[in-house]
Amino acid sequence: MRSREDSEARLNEALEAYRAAAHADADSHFDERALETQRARIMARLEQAGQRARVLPFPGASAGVRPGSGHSRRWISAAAAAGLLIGLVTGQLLHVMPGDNWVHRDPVRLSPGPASSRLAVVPAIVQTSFDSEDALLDAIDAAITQRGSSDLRAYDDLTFSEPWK
Amino acid sequence: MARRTAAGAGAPPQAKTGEVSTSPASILASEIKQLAASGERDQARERFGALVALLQRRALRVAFHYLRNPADADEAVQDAFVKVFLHIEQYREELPFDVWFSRILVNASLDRLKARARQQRFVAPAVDEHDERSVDYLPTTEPSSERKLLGRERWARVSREVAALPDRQRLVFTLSQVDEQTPGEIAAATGMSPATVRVHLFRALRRLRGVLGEHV
Repeated sequence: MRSREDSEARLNEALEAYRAAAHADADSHFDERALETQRARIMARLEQAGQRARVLPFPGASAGVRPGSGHSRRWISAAAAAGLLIGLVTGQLLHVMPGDNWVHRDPVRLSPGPASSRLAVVPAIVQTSFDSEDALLDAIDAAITQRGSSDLRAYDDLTFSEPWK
Repeated sequence: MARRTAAGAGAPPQAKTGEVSTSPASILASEIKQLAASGERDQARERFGALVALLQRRALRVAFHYLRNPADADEAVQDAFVKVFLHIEQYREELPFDVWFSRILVNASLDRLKARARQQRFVAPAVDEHDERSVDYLPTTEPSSERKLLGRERWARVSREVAALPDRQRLVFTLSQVDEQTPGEIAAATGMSPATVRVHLFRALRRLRGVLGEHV
């Protein structure tokens, strides 16, 4: 029992020493001048808090008509809409026009070099649309009749057949 | 404030119903509240200066002990006083002003801790060579005379142990031992029950026994 009382007394003593040390440690960071400075800051903040918030006027130059606003903006919108409409109508008309099975092609490039290098040459043909295989054959027929057979040599290279032998 | 034992047993802070707390801070606070309520804001502010001077030192000790950083402690104390003045009309005279102020100070300190945690998320903390803990938690100035009394090595060890306490234990220990508040006052200031406060204080003291004195 006595030892417990002694232990508690020693703990209280140690805590007293700790408290004194903690106070001294804090006080060493905040001398009288620091306290005065802090008081002044607090009072300044309170003074500011008491004032009504000031509303800054919007700069006069930017209060005018901004570029791209109002009248001109409406014109831009109308022009964009008209452009879209014209594009759509033109697209529809092109589909309605006769001879719609088109093959857009670049001129077939023939390789002037040896056969090995010719194999690497691929005709730059862009096929947009064919309704059927017949349409494709018709297009090929037309090409044969209009151009010389040498024009089709590249096709031959691709199909592995030997029609000229 | 009178010195208290380690257990810190004491009466709860509330005055009896209908009574007005009579501590110097409470009297000043009541006066300021009346001035503010009657629209005499400038006079209220002037009187508030006296209240700041009365509580400032104590508030800085608590905030510094809890935050372990002079700049943060300074900010927390400033914030607390500004909040007190802006909300002085909410002060209830039947309660001791010191308790109400402690509550605001604790909240301001917790806000500073959160702000610091947010900052440290983006900045790598400086680490002590011998200890993995942040250097911020170690006293940085030349040893004071009191620290010399306690012994530099021992002070450093105790400080580290206190800093390493869980947040609530550290808060309760700080309010109990540095600000000498009773469990009732701490309960009112922190929102914990007095029983919880006692448990946290008991655990903190048990953990610190070893470094406070080998023979304790």
